[in-house]
Amino acid sequence: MNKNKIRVMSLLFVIFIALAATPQITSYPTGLGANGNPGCTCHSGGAGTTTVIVDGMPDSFTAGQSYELNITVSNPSIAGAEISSNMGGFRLFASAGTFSAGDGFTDLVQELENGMTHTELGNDNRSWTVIWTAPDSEGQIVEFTVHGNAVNGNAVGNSPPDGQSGDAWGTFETSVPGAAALGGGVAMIEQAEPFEVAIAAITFGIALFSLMLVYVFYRNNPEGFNLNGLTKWLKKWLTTTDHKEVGTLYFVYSFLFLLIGGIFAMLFRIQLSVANNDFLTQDQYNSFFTLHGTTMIFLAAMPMIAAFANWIIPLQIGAKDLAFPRVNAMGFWMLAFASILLYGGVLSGEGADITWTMYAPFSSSGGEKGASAGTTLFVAGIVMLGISSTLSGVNFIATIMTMRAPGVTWMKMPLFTWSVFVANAMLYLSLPALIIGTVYLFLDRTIGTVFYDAAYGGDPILWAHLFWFFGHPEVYVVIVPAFGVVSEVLATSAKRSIFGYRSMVYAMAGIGVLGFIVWGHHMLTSGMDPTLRLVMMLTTMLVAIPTGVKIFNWLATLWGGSLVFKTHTLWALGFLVTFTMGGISGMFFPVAGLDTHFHDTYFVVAHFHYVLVGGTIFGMFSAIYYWYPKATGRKLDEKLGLLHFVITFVAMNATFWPMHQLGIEGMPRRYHTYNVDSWTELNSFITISALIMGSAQLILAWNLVRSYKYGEESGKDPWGGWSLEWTTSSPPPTPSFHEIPTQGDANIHHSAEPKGGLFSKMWKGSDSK
Amino acid sequence: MSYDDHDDHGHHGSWAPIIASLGTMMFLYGFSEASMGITAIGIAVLTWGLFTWWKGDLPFDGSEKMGELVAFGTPFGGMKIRKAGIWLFLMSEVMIFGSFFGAYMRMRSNWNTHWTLRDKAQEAIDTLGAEGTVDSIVKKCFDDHHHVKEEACEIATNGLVNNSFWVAADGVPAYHHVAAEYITADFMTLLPGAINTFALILSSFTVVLALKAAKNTDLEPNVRNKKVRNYLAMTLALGTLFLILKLWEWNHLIHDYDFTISTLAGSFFYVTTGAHGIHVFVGLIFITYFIYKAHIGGWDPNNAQSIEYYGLYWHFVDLAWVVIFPAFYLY
Amino acid sequence: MGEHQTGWQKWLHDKTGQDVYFWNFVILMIFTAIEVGAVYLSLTYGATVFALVSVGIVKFFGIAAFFMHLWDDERELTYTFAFPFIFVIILFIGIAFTSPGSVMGLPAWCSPEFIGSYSSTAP
Repeated sequence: MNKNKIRVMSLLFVIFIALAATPQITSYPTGLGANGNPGCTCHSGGAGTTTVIVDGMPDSFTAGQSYELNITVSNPSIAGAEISSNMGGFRLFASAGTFSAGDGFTDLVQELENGMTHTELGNDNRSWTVIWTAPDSEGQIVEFTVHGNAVNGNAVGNSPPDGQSGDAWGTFETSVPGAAALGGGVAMIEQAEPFEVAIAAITFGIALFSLMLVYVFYRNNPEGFNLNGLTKWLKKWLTTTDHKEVGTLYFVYSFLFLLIGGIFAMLFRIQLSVANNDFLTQDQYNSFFTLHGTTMIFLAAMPMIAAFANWIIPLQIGAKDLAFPRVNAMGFWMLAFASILLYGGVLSGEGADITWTMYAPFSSSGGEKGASAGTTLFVAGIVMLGISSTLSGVNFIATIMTMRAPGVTWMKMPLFTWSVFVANAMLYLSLPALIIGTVYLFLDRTIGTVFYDAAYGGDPILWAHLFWFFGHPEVYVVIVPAFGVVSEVLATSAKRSIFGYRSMVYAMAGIGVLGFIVWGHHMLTSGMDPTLRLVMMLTTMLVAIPTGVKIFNWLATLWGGSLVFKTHTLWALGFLVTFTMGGISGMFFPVAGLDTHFHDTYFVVAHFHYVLVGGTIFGMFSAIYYWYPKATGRKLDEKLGLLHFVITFVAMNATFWPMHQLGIEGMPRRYHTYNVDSWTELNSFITISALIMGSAQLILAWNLVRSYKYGEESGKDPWGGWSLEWTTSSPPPTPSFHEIPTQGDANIHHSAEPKGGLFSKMWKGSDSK
Repeated sequence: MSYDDHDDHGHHGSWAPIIASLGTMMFLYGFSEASMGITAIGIAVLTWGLFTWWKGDLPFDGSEKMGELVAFGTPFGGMKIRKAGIWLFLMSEVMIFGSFFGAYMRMRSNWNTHWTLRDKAQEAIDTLGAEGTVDSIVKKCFDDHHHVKEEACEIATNGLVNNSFWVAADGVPAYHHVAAEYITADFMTLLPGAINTFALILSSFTVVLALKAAKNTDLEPNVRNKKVRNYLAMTLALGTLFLILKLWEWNHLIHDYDFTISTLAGSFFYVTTGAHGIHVFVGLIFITYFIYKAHIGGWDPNNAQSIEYYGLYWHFVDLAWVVIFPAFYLY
Repeated sequence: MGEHQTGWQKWLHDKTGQDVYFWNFVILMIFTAIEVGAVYLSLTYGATVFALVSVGIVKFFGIAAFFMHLWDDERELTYTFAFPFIFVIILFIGIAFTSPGSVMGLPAWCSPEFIGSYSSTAP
């Protein structure tokens, strides 16, 4: 055990060092490798003795006023004046305001992103003059960073005595408050840098999260609350291969990232609340909504689904564990470490700004007109996510295909298992296209291949094809398991077997196959083959048929049952409403003509949030309330659950419904601001609703934590479910079944239940065996 | 069901997943930041993770003989679960190489060159009075093998499509001179690829022989293990030869033909054959472990199926080469 | 596997003293030689492609059927292996073999400047 203690301690130590080093990264002149703000990358000299002086900084600035700044670098130990060229350079960053060259310095300095730098000619100077025009809003503090470099000519002459290779860095930093910001603290807080707010919020979230972990550890065993116990406990969670524990890890992870992704959404909703807002800069906006999309899809929705799949699949099919437990654990840890790569860019101030679709050629190019430097890490993270999903995919498919207990035949398998099977089969077969696409992108960005570079004959549309060949199956991957959850929940709550089981299965399998031949509808305006455009239009409309079958089957299930309104039932009913609305707005896009008008507007945003929030997230929330008792042995609080549902459902519709109108009016997505004043009203409404919806999730978090200890005891089968997971104790033992069980028949189970409702008298299915 | 007797199988904790994932992350981080140090550390950590993984399986004290899980029900009923697993994994590999080929064929269909050329041809007809139709002019730009004929094209378009169309600003060819153009022009360039093809098929055959030897109940245990070891060592040698010849051939193409990764055809060629090379390399790592197991006498007919599963992977790599070789080297 | 050979595989083994793996190996070697040779035969474009594709199919079959035991194993494994090829074909059709004809490929009446003549295909 002692060895483990050392391991855990050293791991924690490394994490601590990394966290301590993080704030240093941005101020390092050469940046975080290629990832930070590269300062001036013409020399690789170390930080040294060079002094940077900036004259003319005001104590506070007035809006729109111009100030003349003189930048001087000096280093007595580096010869410069006697050499005719290449004496020094500088790179100035300012968080706000605009720049122009000073008098007589037009050829010597030039503008660069967020500031100024010297030109080729300006390289021959050691002092420069620039003019800074203050921003319009005085309620902020402008940060200045000037990196100065004293160079020893063309590496000739004497090396400086301290062993540096003839050039050395120095940094000058200051901040200038606006006149209004001087007045009092209130203005300063309002104008706090959103980027820092995001980082602070995430740090706060993680800290809270760690505290929660420690609390849970404490509650587990108050006597064993010491370091030795902690290392043992951590070791258990870090090395576990049990499907239930890995499932819990997935769940906790996805919930954390659901909140982080939500924080990003809040921040850029604040930016969009009024016209011409400058709460976020364009770069921040771009990287925030990129991370919002990627986080929500890959780090929140998919792990949440994986969490329930891990927990429930072996229980539902009567297996003791998944087929390859260690591969399963590897899938989770790949995901966990991938998130570090995805967020790595943000930590150095250069978050990826390529949206979750990562369209080439923007994403494959760097520099001023290309994606920011953190994109490389981001793409590496996506490759890792691909590895993770492949590992968990092979595991789930193998488990469902080979480890079903007697009685769990293909046509008696619970629908949630079916949905996970279909989703993972789709994911598994489509992921390679994404992996290959992102590997191409990664290599384009790192070793200089030209897959997507049109100047060399490369083909940006290839990216779109590869991405959407994966991307469209992917959106079904996140919705189909929600179908499964809703099927289970509605059948159990209606106290009957699901209506039209076979058609449900065929509908899901149909969606699974159709999902592979519709990807072109994301590219209708990209200039791909018109024939393919026509084909994809038709196949996309076909998808509505199996989806419609499912909706009507659910309605028929309700009709024939006697419905019990538990919280999970409410979520499932909410799913039916919002998902259907999202599905209907989706039917506008496959029509190429309408798509030309709607693409890249808020209409699209409204559509996919209706199906992703109203579909996937509602389905997953339903699953949380439904299976929480199975995992913990205690029910979640129904009153808090009702509150959570009502607020979220109303706020969700209030958030996304107005987006339809904005989209039709032509408000583009992915733009950091807009200048149409008439849009402000709806946008403010959306922002307020979004904030309400975001805060409502804290109710769920509180409910999860509180009910773990104080919830009502649930027993084996609190809701009257029929499938195998309800036959084992709550929480289930490890391994999950000591005896391999045999599954009965849903209809037999339900015919033993007391009958009620209109439909049972009319419908033969629920009376007969 | 057959896995009733060993309840706690698979429930031992393992450090391997978290270590291997950390290694992967560090490797990708180092690669992104062009930092050789972190890349190397990442590979080292990844190796440590894999080693930890194997150490869990390694003791050979009889515990590994407790059998493996057997599938139940359709479609794989009665089959070993690991066998079903490896075939399912191969599904993913099929899609991986399918994606490589899809992208490659898109490049080889030359649509973007043709597309631009058609534009240029129209322009030449409209403004320079070039003769013929768009189609006939474009046809003159290519020979039977769809290789470009620069001079004929320049004449057909009255000089509009000249050298600058085919070569990007910094001297890199914008048109795809594919690897096969260089390779088939010169037998010495083709030779390593051809030898590699034979080597891979031979190595597939030796894996089959090793499996046969391991399953042969008539042999003494030490004779059997010796045979298995020798056959697998031949596979290892042939695989190593494959990688060496491939690197030599890359070197040759880059230095003697200036066929670098910064051209479109070069990107496809090196990345696809490189991805295949990585598969070979991974196979070699696994086979080292198998040889070690044979060396300490770990193989008997009851656990020989591991060689079969490994063989499936190795044959699939061979299979991929069967498609890559004609597509990238000969055509 | 090798020890349960029946039918023609057993016949082959009795007749030649070598099993099916060996003969498969020999055939693969011969076909590879043909493949390399075909490129130097200065065939026409179509004949070269035909030769490469047909040799490829034979080799693919040889490896998959015998080295990977699909011939002797359960049919389900063959289906498992064949299943993703459906999606590979979809991918090929959608990505590899479609060209963005765009405005050039559309009929004239699709172009904004169309004023009534159906003769030209150019916009």
